[in-house]
Amino acid sequence: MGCANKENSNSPQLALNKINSIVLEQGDLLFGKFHEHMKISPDGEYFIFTDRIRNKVFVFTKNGSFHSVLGEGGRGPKGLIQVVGFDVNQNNEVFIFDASQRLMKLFDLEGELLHTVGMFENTPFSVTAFGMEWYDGKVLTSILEDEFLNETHQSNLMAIMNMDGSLDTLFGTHDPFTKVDNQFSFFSEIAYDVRNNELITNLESSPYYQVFDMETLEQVAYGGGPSESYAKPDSDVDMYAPISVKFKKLTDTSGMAHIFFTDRYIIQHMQILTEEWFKTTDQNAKKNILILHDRDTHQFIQEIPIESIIVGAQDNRLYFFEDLNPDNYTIGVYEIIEAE
Amino acid sequence: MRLLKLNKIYVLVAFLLVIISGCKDNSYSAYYDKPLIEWESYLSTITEQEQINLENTVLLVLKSSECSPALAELSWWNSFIQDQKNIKVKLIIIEKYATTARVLLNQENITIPSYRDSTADILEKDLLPSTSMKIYFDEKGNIVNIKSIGTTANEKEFTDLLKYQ
Repeated sequence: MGCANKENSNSPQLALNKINSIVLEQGDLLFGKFHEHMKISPDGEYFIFTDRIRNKVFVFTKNGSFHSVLGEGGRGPKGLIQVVGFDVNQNNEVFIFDASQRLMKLFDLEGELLHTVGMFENTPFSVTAFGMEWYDGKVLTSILEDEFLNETHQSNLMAIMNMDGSLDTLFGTHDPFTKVDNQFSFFSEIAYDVRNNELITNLESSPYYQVFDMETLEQVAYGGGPSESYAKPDSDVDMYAPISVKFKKLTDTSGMAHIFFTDRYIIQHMQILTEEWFKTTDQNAKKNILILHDRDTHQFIQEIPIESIIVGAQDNRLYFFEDLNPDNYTIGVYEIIEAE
Repeated sequence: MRLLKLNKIYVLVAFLLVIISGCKDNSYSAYYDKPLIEWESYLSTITEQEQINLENTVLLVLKSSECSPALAELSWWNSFIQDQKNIKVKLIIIEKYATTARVLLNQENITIPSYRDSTADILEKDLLPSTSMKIYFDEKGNIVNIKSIGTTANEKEFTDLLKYQ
Protein backbone atom coordinates (compact mmCIF):
# COMPACT_ATOMS: atom_id res chain seq x y z
CA MET A 1 0.00 0.00 0.00
CA GLY A 2 3.04 2.27 -0.17
CA CYS A 3 4.88 4.01 2.59
CA ALA A 4 3.26 5.73 5.46
CA ASN A 5 2.54 9.39 4.93
CA LYS A 6 5.18 11.67 6.31
CA GLU A 7 4.33 15.03 7.69
CA ASN A 8 4.72 17.74 5.09
CA SER A 9 7.66 19.77 6.37
CA ASN A 10 6.75 22.76 4.20
CA SER A 11 3.39 23.20 5.86
CA PRO A 12 2.99 25.12 9.09
CA GLN A 13 1.97 23.06 12.09
CA LEU A 14 -1.74 23.14 12.63
CA ALA A 15 -3.63 23.05 15.90
CA LEU A 16 -7.17 23.23 17.18
CA ASN A 17 -8.39 26.42 18.77
CA LYS A 18 -11.48 26.29 20.95
CA ILE A 19 -14.17 28.81 20.07
CA ASN A 20 -17.14 27.74 22.11
CA SER A 21 -18.54 25.17 24.48
CA ILE A 22 -22.19 24.19 24.50
CA VAL A 23 -23.86 22.10 27.20
CA LEU A 24 -26.97 20.28 25.99
CA GLU A 25 -30.06 20.61 28.11
CA GLN A 26 -30.81 17.06 29.16
CA GLY A 27 -34.15 15.97 30.45
CA ASP A 28 -35.09 12.59 31.85
CA LEU A 29 -36.40 11.64 28.41
CA LEU A 30 -32.88 11.52 27.02
CA PHE A 31 -30.28 8.83 27.39
CA GLY A 32 -27.28 10.68 26.11
CA LYS A 33 -26.43 7.57 24.14
CA PHE A 34 -26.22 9.49 20.92
CA HIS A 35 -24.75 8.00 17.79
CA GLU A 36 -21.49 9.55 16.81
CA HIS A 37 -23.11 11.41 13.95
CA MET A 38 -24.47 14.90 14.38
CA LYS A 39 -26.18 16.98 11.75
CA ILE A 40 -26.13 20.75 11.88
CA SER A 41 -28.89 22.67 10.11
CA PRO A 42 -27.53 24.70 7.17
CA ASP A 43 -28.30 27.96 9.00
CA GLY A 44 -26.34 26.66 11.99
CA GLU A 45 -29.29 27.08 14.36
CA TYR A 46 -29.92 23.44 15.27
CA PHE A 47 -27.99 20.31 16.29
CA ILE A 48 -29.64 16.99 15.47
CA PHE A 49 -28.81 13.52 16.82
CA THR A 50 -30.22 10.01 16.97
CA ASP A 51 -30.36 8.14 20.24
CA ARG A 52 -28.80 4.71 20.02
CA ILE A 53 -31.50 2.93 21.97
CA ARG A 54 -34.66 4.89 21.50
CA ASN A 55 -34.34 5.25 17.72
CA LYS A 56 -35.70 8.74 17.68
CA VAL A 57 -34.16 11.94 16.45
CA PHE A 58 -33.50 14.76 18.92
CA VAL A 59 -33.23 18.42 18.03
CA PHE A 60 -31.38 21.01 20.10
CA THR A 61 -30.82 24.67 19.42
CA LYS A 62 -27.31 25.96 18.84
CA ASN A 63 -27.29 27.13 22.45
CA GLY A 64 -27.98 23.62 23.71
CA SER A 65 -31.66 24.04 24.57
CA PHE A 66 -33.81 21.02 23.91
CA HIS A 67 -36.11 21.77 20.96
CA SER A 68 -38.04 18.69 19.86
CA VAL A 69 -38.17 14.94 19.30
CA LEU A 70 -38.83 13.64 15.80
CA GLY A 71 -40.60 10.31 15.60
CA GLU A 72 -42.03 7.97 18.18
CA GLY A 73 -41.88 4.30 19.02
CA GLY A 74 -43.81 1.68 17.07
CA ARG A 75 -45.09 1.45 13.54
CA GLY A 76 -47.59 4.31 13.52
CA PRO A 77 -47.41 7.27 11.15
CA LYS A 78 -44.52 8.82 13.09
CA GLY A 79 -43.18 5.46 14.23
CA LEU A 80 -39.48 4.64 13.94
CA ILE A 81 -37.95 1.23 14.62
CA GLN A 82 -34.38 1.40 13.35
CA VAL A 83 -32.98 4.75 12.30
CA VAL A 84 -29.96 4.31 10.03
CA GLY A 85 -29.78 7.70 8.34
CA PHE A 86 -31.08 11.23 8.60
CA ASP A 87 -30.23 14.73 7.46
CA VAL A 88 -31.60 18.26 7.58
CA ASN A 89 -31.91 20.61 4.58
CA GLN A 90 -32.03 24.38 4.15
CA ASN A 91 -35.81 24.34 4.72
CA ASN A 92 -35.22 22.63 8.07
CA GLU A 93 -36.87 19.45 6.82
CA VAL A 94 -35.40 16.26 8.26
CA PHE A 95 -35.57 12.97 6.42
CA ILE A 96 -35.20 9.87 8.57
CA PHE A 97 -34.67 6.45 7.01
CA ASP A 98 -36.03 3.56 9.03
CA ALA A 99 -34.33 0.37 7.80
CA SER A 100 -36.68 -1.88 9.71
CA GLN A 101 -39.78 -0.51 8.01
CA ARG A 102 -37.94 0.50 4.83
CA LEU A 103 -39.62 3.86 5.08
CA MET A 104 -38.27 7.34 4.52
CA LYS A 105 -40.11 9.80 6.77
CA LEU A 106 -39.91 13.55 6.38
CA PHE A 107 -40.40 15.74 9.46
CA ASP A 108 -40.22 19.41 10.21
CA LEU A 109 -38.22 20.53 13.20
CA GLU A 110 -41.34 20.79 15.33
CA GLY A 111 -41.85 17.06 14.95
CA GLU A 112 -44.68 17.18 12.42
CA LEU A 113 -44.67 14.38 9.88
CA LEU A 114 -44.67 15.84 6.36
CA HIS A 115 -44.28 12.83 4.13
CA THR A 116 -43.70 9.07 4.20
CA VAL A 117 -42.48 6.93 1.33
CA GLY A 118 -41.21 3.39 0.93
CA MET A 119 -37.57 3.31 -0.10
CA PHE A 120 -35.01 0.65 -1.06
CA GLU A 121 -37.78 -1.95 -1.34
CA ASN A 122 -36.92 -3.50 -4.70
CA THR A 123 -33.48 -2.17 -5.37
CA PRO A 124 -30.64 -4.49 -6.43
CA PHE A 125 -28.41 -3.13 -3.69
CA SER A 126 -28.24 -2.60 0.06
CA VAL A 127 -27.71 0.58 2.00
CA THR A 128 -24.31 0.65 3.68
CA ALA A 129 -24.28 4.05 5.32
CA PHE A 130 -25.13 5.36 8.71
CA GLY A 131 -24.63 8.75 7.13
CA MET A 132 -27.14 9.73 4.46
CA GLU A 133 -27.29 13.24 3.08
CA TRP A 134 -29.65 15.54 1.27
CA TYR A 135 -28.57 16.21 -2.28
CA ASP A 136 -30.54 18.66 -4.41
CA GLY A 137 -33.90 17.58 -2.94
CA LYS A 138 -32.90 13.92 -3.15
CA VAL A 139 -31.16 11.49 -0.83
CA LEU A 140 -27.56 10.46 -1.21
CA THR A 141 -26.39 7.21 0.36
CA SER A 142 -23.62 4.67 -0.04
CA ILE A 143 -24.66 1.24 -1.22
CA LEU A 144 -23.39 -2.21 -2.12
CA GLU A 145 -24.81 -3.96 -5.17
CA ASP A 146 -26.14 -7.45 -4.54
CA GLU A 147 -24.15 -9.07 -7.31
CA PHE A 148 -20.86 -7.77 -5.93
CA LEU A 149 -21.27 -8.81 -2.32
CA ASN A 150 -18.04 -10.82 -2.60
CA GLU A 151 -16.28 -8.49 -5.03
CA THR A 152 -16.95 -5.20 -3.36
CA HIS A 153 -14.48 -3.22 -5.45
CA GLN A 154 -16.63 -3.79 -8.54
CA SER A 155 -19.79 -2.42 -7.01
CA ASN A 156 -21.21 1.03 -7.49
CA LEU A 157 -20.61 3.07 -4.35
CA MET A 158 -23.37 5.64 -4.23
CA ALA A 159 -27.08 5.91 -4.95
CA ILE A 160 -29.17 9.03 -5.44
CA MET A 161 -32.76 8.35 -4.43
CA ASN A 162 -35.74 10.48 -5.36
CA MET A 163 -38.12 11.46 -2.60
CA ASP A 164 -40.87 9.41 -4.24
CA GLY A 165 -38.78 6.35 -3.36
CA SER A 166 -37.49 5.69 -6.86
CA LEU A 167 -33.84 5.31 -7.80
CA ASP A 168 -32.37 8.30 -9.61
CA THR A 169 -28.91 6.99 -10.37
CA LEU A 170 -25.96 4.93 -9.19
CA PHE A 171 -22.39 6.14 -9.48
CA GLY A 172 -18.83 5.69 -8.24
CA THR A 173 -17.12 2.46 -7.30
CA HIS A 174 -16.00 1.15 -3.96
CA ASP A 175 -12.51 1.98 -2.77
CA PRO A 176 -9.92 -0.35 -4.42
CA PHE A 177 -8.64 -0.84 -0.88
CA THR A 178 -11.42 -3.42 -0.51
CA LYS A 179 -9.20 -5.81 -2.48
CA VAL A 180 -6.66 -5.86 0.37
CA ASP A 181 -9.01 -5.05 3.21
CA ASN A 182 -8.86 -7.73 5.88
CA GLN A 183 -11.85 -6.32 7.77
CA PHE A 184 -14.14 -6.79 4.75
CA SER A 185 -16.06 -3.64 5.51
CA PHE A 186 -18.86 -2.33 3.32
CA PHE A 187 -19.43 0.93 5.13
CA SER A 188 -18.42 4.30 3.82
CA GLU A 189 -18.58 7.62 5.56
CA ILE A 190 -19.76 10.43 3.32
CA ALA A 191 -19.66 14.22 3.33
CA TYR A 192 -21.38 16.32 0.68
CA ASP A 193 -20.03 19.82 0.09
CA VAL A 194 -22.92 21.86 -1.33
CA ARG A 195 -20.79 24.91 -2.06
CA ASN A 196 -18.30 23.04 -4.25
CA ASN A 197 -20.79 20.36 -5.34
CA GLU A 198 -18.35 17.66 -4.29
CA LEU A 199 -18.87 14.43 -2.43
CA ILE A 200 -16.14 12.95 -0.25
CA THR A 201 -16.34 9.29 0.78
CA ASN A 202 -14.18 7.12 3.04
CA LEU A 203 -14.53 3.38 3.52
CA GLU A 204 -14.44 2.89 7.28
CA SER A 205 -11.55 0.41 7.15
CA SER A 206 -9.53 2.32 4.54
CA PRO A 207 -6.96 5.08 4.99
CA TYR A 208 -7.93 6.42 1.57
CA TYR A 209 -10.75 8.75 0.56
CA GLN A 210 -12.45 9.49 -2.75
CA VAL A 211 -13.75 12.80 -4.05
CA PHE A 212 -16.53 12.96 -6.64
CA ASP A 213 -17.63 15.87 -8.79
CA MET A 214 -21.41 15.79 -8.40
CA GLU A 215 -21.91 17.52 -11.76
CA THR A 216 -20.29 14.69 -13.69
CA LEU A 217 -20.51 12.03 -10.96
CA GLU A 218 -16.90 11.20 -11.75
CA GLN A 219 -14.13 10.58 -9.23
CA VAL A 220 -11.82 13.59 -9.29
CA ALA A 221 -9.43 12.63 -6.50
CA TYR A 222 -8.22 9.59 -4.56
CA GLY A 223 -6.37 10.84 -1.52
CA GLY A 224 -5.18 9.83 1.90
CA GLY A 225 -3.14 6.74 2.66
CA PRO A 226 -1.72 5.10 5.76
CA SER A 227 -0.52 7.74 8.19
CA GLU A 228 1.75 7.12 11.14
CA SER A 229 -0.94 5.91 13.52
CA TYR A 230 -2.85 3.80 11.03
CA ALA A 231 -2.87 0.08 11.82
CA LYS A 232 -4.63 -2.79 10.07
CA PRO A 233 -5.45 -6.06 11.81
CA ASP A 234 -2.61 -8.56 11.45
CA SER A 235 -4.87 -11.15 9.88
CA ASP A 236 -8.33 -11.45 8.37
CA VAL A 237 -11.23 -10.51 10.60
CA ASP A 238 -14.09 -12.88 10.02
CA MET A 239 -17.27 -10.99 10.75
CA TYR A 240 -18.96 -14.23 11.81
CA ALA A 241 -16.20 -15.18 14.27
CA PRO A 242 -16.95 -15.21 18.01
CA ILE A 243 -16.99 -11.75 19.42
CA SER A 244 -14.02 -12.43 21.70
CA VAL A 245 -11.90 -13.43 18.70
CA LYS A 246 -12.95 -10.34 16.84
CA PHE A 247 -12.16 -8.11 19.80
CA LYS A 248 -8.68 -9.52 20.05
CA LYS A 249 -7.94 -8.93 16.38
CA LEU A 250 -9.36 -5.44 16.30
CA THR A 251 -7.77 -4.07 19.47
CA ASP A 252 -5.22 -1.37 18.60
CA THR A 253 -6.33 -1.26 14.96
CA SER A 254 -7.73 1.72 13.10
CA GLY A 255 -11.08 2.62 11.64
CA MET A 256 -12.26 5.76 9.95
CA ALA A 257 -15.23 7.05 11.88
CA HIS A 258 -15.93 10.18 9.87
CA ILE A 259 -14.83 12.25 6.90
CA PHE A 260 -15.20 16.04 7.03
CA PHE A 261 -14.12 19.06 5.05
CA THR A 262 -13.42 22.74 5.57
CA ASP A 263 -12.53 25.28 2.91
CA ARG A 264 -8.86 24.33 3.21
CA TYR A 265 -8.76 20.78 4.51
CA ILE A 266 -10.15 17.31 4.11
CA ILE A 267 -10.25 15.75 7.56
CA GLN A 268 -10.33 12.04 8.29
CA HIS A 269 -11.38 11.06 11.78
CA MET A 270 -9.51 7.91 12.66
CA GLN A 271 -10.29 5.90 15.76
CA ILE A 272 -8.03 3.28 17.27
CA LEU A 273 -9.99 0.63 19.08
CA THR A 274 -9.03 -0.17 22.65
CA GLU A 275 -9.76 -2.96 25.06
CA GLU A 276 -11.50 -0.52 27.36
CA TRP A 277 -13.90 0.47 24.61
CA PHE A 278 -14.74 -3.12 23.80
CA LYS A 279 -15.64 -3.66 27.43
CA THR A 280 -17.52 -0.47 28.15
CA THR A 281 -18.59 0.94 24.76
CA ASP A 282 -17.60 4.29 26.23
CA GLN A 283 -16.91 6.24 23.05
CA ASN A 284 -14.23 8.36 24.63
CA ALA A 285 -12.29 5.20 25.48
CA LYS A 286 -11.18 5.00 21.85
CA LYS A 287 -8.09 6.86 20.70
CA ASN A 288 -9.13 9.62 18.34
CA ILE A 289 -6.93 11.22 15.70
CA LEU A 290 -7.63 13.81 13.03
CA ILE A 291 -5.75 13.36 9.76
CA LEU A 292 -5.55 16.55 7.74
CA HIS A 293 -5.05 16.78 3.99
CA ASP A 294 -4.82 19.82 1.76
CA ARG A 295 -8.19 20.36 0.11
CA ASP A 296 -6.69 21.37 -3.25
CA THR A 297 -3.60 19.18 -3.60
CA HIS A 298 -4.77 16.28 -1.39
CA GLN A 299 -1.32 16.25 0.13
CA PHE A 300 -1.12 14.84 3.64
CA ILE A 301 -0.48 17.59 6.19
CA GLN A 302 -0.43 16.08 9.67
CA GLU A 303 -2.12 14.02 12.33
CA ILE A 304 -3.68 15.76 15.31
CA PRO A 305 -4.45 13.53 18.32
CA ILE A 306 -7.68 14.60 20.00
CA GLU A 307 -9.16 13.80 23.38
CA SER A 308 -12.77 13.39 22.30
CA ILE A 309 -14.94 12.47 19.35
CA ILE A 310 -15.42 14.81 16.44
CA VAL A 311 -19.01 14.55 15.24
CA GLY A 312 -19.57 17.41 12.83
CA ALA A 313 -18.00 20.12 10.70
CA GLN A 314 -19.66 23.11 9.12
CA ASP A 315 -18.50 26.56 8.00
CA ASN A 316 -14.91 25.79 8.98
CA ARG A 317 -15.88 24.86 12.52
CA LEU A 318 -15.38 21.43 14.03
CA TYR A 319 -17.75 20.03 16.63
CA PHE A 320 -16.67 17.53 19.29
CA PHE A 321 -18.54 15.52 21.91
CA GLU A 322 -16.35 16.52 24.84
CA ASP A 323 -18.36 15.20 27.75
CA LEU A 324 -20.77 12.32 27.25
CA ASN A 325 -22.13 12.48 30.78
CA PRO A 326 -25.87 13.14 30.39
CA ASP A 327 -25.68 15.58 33.28
CA ASN A 328 -23.17 17.70 31.44
CA TYR A 329 -23.39 16.73 27.78
CA THR A 330 -20.93 19.11 26.15
CA ILE A 331 -20.17 20.00 22.56
CA GLY A 332 -16.88 21.78 21.97
CA VAL A 333 -16.56 24.00 18.90
CA TYR A 334 -13.10 24.43 17.37
CA GLU A 335 -11.34 25.95 14.41
CA ILE A 336 -8.08 24.89 12.80
CA ILE A 337 -5.30 27.42 13.20
CA GLU A 338 -1.61 27.58 12.44
CA ALA A 339 0.29 26.82 15.62
CA GLU A 340 2.73 29.45 16.85
CA MET B 1 -27.12 -16.15 -0.55
CA ARG B 2 -30.25 -14.40 -1.59
CA LEU B 3 -31.48 -12.60 1.47
CA LEU B 4 -34.41 -10.38 2.01
CA LYS B 5 -33.51 -6.77 1.56
CA LEU B 6 -34.36 -6.03 5.14
CA ASN B 7 -32.26 -8.89 6.37
CA LYS B 8 -29.41 -7.84 4.18
CA ILE B 9 -29.39 -4.44 5.75
CA TYR B 10 -29.15 -6.15 9.09
CA VAL B 11 -26.33 -8.34 7.84
CA LEU B 12 -24.41 -5.35 6.61
CA VAL B 13 -24.80 -3.45 9.82
CA ALA B 14 -24.10 -6.56 11.86
CA PHE B 15 -20.37 -6.04 11.80
CA LEU B 16 -20.72 -2.84 13.76
CA LEU B 17 -23.64 -3.89 15.87
CA VAL B 18 -21.85 -7.01 16.95
CA ILE B 19 -19.03 -4.86 18.24
CA ILE B 20 -21.35 -2.44 19.96
CA SER B 21 -23.64 -4.96 21.54
CA GLY B 22 -23.02 -8.17 23.39
CA CYS B 23 -23.40 -11.26 21.30
CA LYS B 24 -23.06 -14.97 21.51
CA ASP B 25 -20.02 -17.05 22.28
CA ASN B 26 -20.65 -20.70 23.00
CA SER B 27 -17.44 -21.48 24.86
CA TYR B 28 -18.52 -20.50 28.36
CA SER B 29 -17.33 -23.60 30.17
CA ALA B 30 -14.53 -21.90 32.13
CA TYR B 31 -17.02 -19.47 33.58
CA TYR B 32 -19.15 -22.15 35.25
CA ASP B 33 -16.34 -22.79 37.70
CA LYS B 34 -16.07 -19.28 39.04
CA PRO B 35 -16.62 -19.58 42.80
CA LEU B 36 -19.55 -17.75 44.30
CA ILE B 37 -17.23 -15.78 46.55
CA GLU B 38 -15.68 -14.10 43.48
CA TRP B 39 -19.09 -13.02 42.32
CA GLU B 40 -20.12 -11.77 45.72
CA SER B 41 -16.86 -9.91 46.11
CA TYR B 42 -17.42 -8.25 42.75
CA LEU B 43 -20.96 -7.25 43.68
CA SER B 44 -19.76 -5.83 46.97
CA THR B 45 -17.30 -3.68 45.05
CA ILE B 46 -19.81 -2.18 42.66
CA THR B 47 -22.60 -1.77 45.17
CA GLU B 48 -20.52 -0.80 48.19
CA GLN B 49 -22.71 -3.21 50.14
CA GLU B 50 -21.17 -5.82 52.34
CA GLN B 51 -22.92 -8.85 50.93
CA ILE B 52 -25.19 -9.58 48.03
CA ASN B 53 -26.77 -12.98 48.08
CA LEU B 54 -26.81 -14.70 44.71
CA GLU B 55 -28.28 -18.02 45.81
CA ASN B 56 -31.24 -19.08 43.71
CA THR B 57 -30.85 -16.04 41.54
CA VAL B 58 -31.01 -15.20 37.86
CA LEU B 59 -28.47 -12.46 37.30
CA LEU B 60 -28.89 -10.38 34.16
CA VAL B 61 -25.87 -8.46 32.89
CA LEU B 62 -26.04 -5.97 30.07
CA LYS B 63 -24.70 -2.69 28.80
CA SER B 64 -26.92 0.35 28.54
CA SER B 65 -26.40 0.43 24.79
CA GLU B 66 -27.80 -3.03 24.13
CA CYS B 67 -30.00 -3.51 21.11
CA SER B 68 -33.76 -4.03 21.17
CA PRO B 69 -33.87 -7.84 21.64
CA ALA B 70 -31.87 -7.57 24.86
CA LEU B 71 -34.17 -4.86 26.16
CA ALA B 72 -37.20 -6.93 25.17
CA GLU B 73 -35.89 -9.81 27.25
CA LEU B 74 -35.25 -7.46 30.12
CA SER B 75 -38.92 -6.47 30.01
CA TRP B 76 -39.90 -10.13 30.05
CA TRP B 77 -37.89 -10.76 33.21
CA ASN B 78 -39.36 -7.65 34.74
CA SER B 79 -42.86 -9.03 34.24
CA PHE B 80 -41.77 -12.47 35.31
CA ILE B 81 -40.63 -11.44 38.77
CA GLN B 82 -43.94 -9.81 39.60
CA ASP B 83 -45.47 -13.24 40.33
CA GLN B 84 -42.29 -15.14 41.11
CA LYS B 85 -41.69 -15.96 44.74
CA ASN B 86 -39.02 -18.65 44.56
CA ILE B 87 -36.36 -17.30 42.27
CA LYS B 88 -34.74 -13.91 42.58
CA VAL B 89 -33.81 -11.82 39.57
CA LYS B 90 -31.13 -9.13 39.71
CA LEU B 91 -29.70 -6.85 37.09
CA ILE B 92 -26.26 -5.38 36.48
CA ILE B 93 -26.02 -2.53 33.99
CA ILE B 94 -22.58 -1.75 32.64
CA GLU B 95 -22.69 1.99 32.18
CA LYS B 96 -20.28 4.76 32.99
CA TYR B 97 -22.90 7.36 33.86
CA ALA B 98 -25.45 7.02 36.65
CA THR B 99 -28.01 9.18 34.87
CA THR B 100 -27.90 7.07 31.73
CA ALA B 101 -28.46 3.90 33.73
CA ARG B 102 -31.29 5.46 35.72
CA VAL B 103 -33.02 6.82 32.62
CA LEU B 104 -32.73 3.45 30.91
CA LEU B 105 -34.50 1.76 33.82
CA ASN B 106 -37.19 4.44 33.92
CA GLN B 107 -37.69 4.31 30.18
CA GLU B 108 -38.17 0.55 30.22
CA ASN B 109 -40.15 0.60 33.50
CA ILE B 110 -37.73 -1.88 35.03
CA THR B 111 -38.24 -2.65 38.72
CA ILE B 112 -35.75 -5.52 38.97
CA PRO B 113 -33.19 -4.82 41.73
CA SER B 114 -30.38 -3.20 39.76
CA TYR B 115 -26.74 -2.33 40.23
CA ARG B 116 -24.41 -0.28 38.05
CA ASP B 117 -20.93 -1.39 37.04
CA SER B 118 -19.35 1.86 35.91
CA THR B 119 -16.05 0.43 34.67
CA ALA B 120 -16.99 -2.98 33.27
CA ASP B 121 -15.28 -4.53 36.27
CA ILE B 122 -17.19 -7.74 35.61
CA LEU B 123 -15.22 -8.25 32.40
CA GLU B 124 -11.99 -7.06 33.96
CA LYS B 125 -12.39 -9.72 36.66
CA ASP B 126 -13.22 -12.18 33.88
CA LEU B 127 -16.44 -13.34 35.50
CA LEU B 128 -18.14 -13.42 32.09
CA PRO B 129 -16.78 -13.77 28.56
CA SER B 130 -18.86 -10.90 27.20
CA THR B 131 -22.23 -9.22 27.54
CA SER B 132 -25.19 -9.32 27.45
CA MET B 133 -25.65 -12.52 29.47
CA LYS B 134 -27.83 -14.16 32.08
CA ILE B 135 -26.50 -16.46 34.76
CA TYR B 136 -28.52 -18.76 36.97
CA PHE B 137 -27.11 -19.53 40.43
CA ASP B 138 -28.79 -22.45 42.20
CA GLU B 139 -29.80 -22.55 45.85
CA LYS B 140 -26.19 -23.38 46.79
CA GLY B 141 -24.80 -20.55 44.71
CA ASN B 142 -23.39 -22.77 42.00
CA ILE B 143 -23.61 -21.53 38.43
CA VAL B 144 -26.06 -23.73 36.62
CA ASN B 145 -26.33 -21.99 33.32
CA ILE B 146 -24.93 -19.06 31.35
CA LYS B 147 -26.73 -17.81 28.29
CA SER B 148 -26.86 -14.80 26.06
CA ILE B 149 -29.60 -12.28 26.56
CA GLY B 150 -31.68 -11.25 23.63
CA THR B 151 -32.38 -14.50 21.87
CA THR B 152 -35.72 -15.52 23.29
CA ALA B 153 -37.64 -14.67 26.42
CA ASN B 154 -40.38 -17.01 27.43
CA GLU B 155 -41.31 -19.72 29.88
CA LYS B 156 -39.37 -22.38 28.01
CA GLU B 157 -36.28 -20.24 28.04
CA PHE B 158 -36.68 -19.80 31.75
CA THR B 159 -37.16 -23.51 32.34
CA ASP B 160 -34.13 -24.28 30.19
CA LEU B 161 -32.10 -21.80 32.14
CA LEU B 162 -32.62 -23.73 35.33
CA LYS B 163 -31.25 -26.95 33.87
CA TYR B 164 -27.69 -27.95 34.54
CA GLN B 165 -25.44 -27.72 31.50
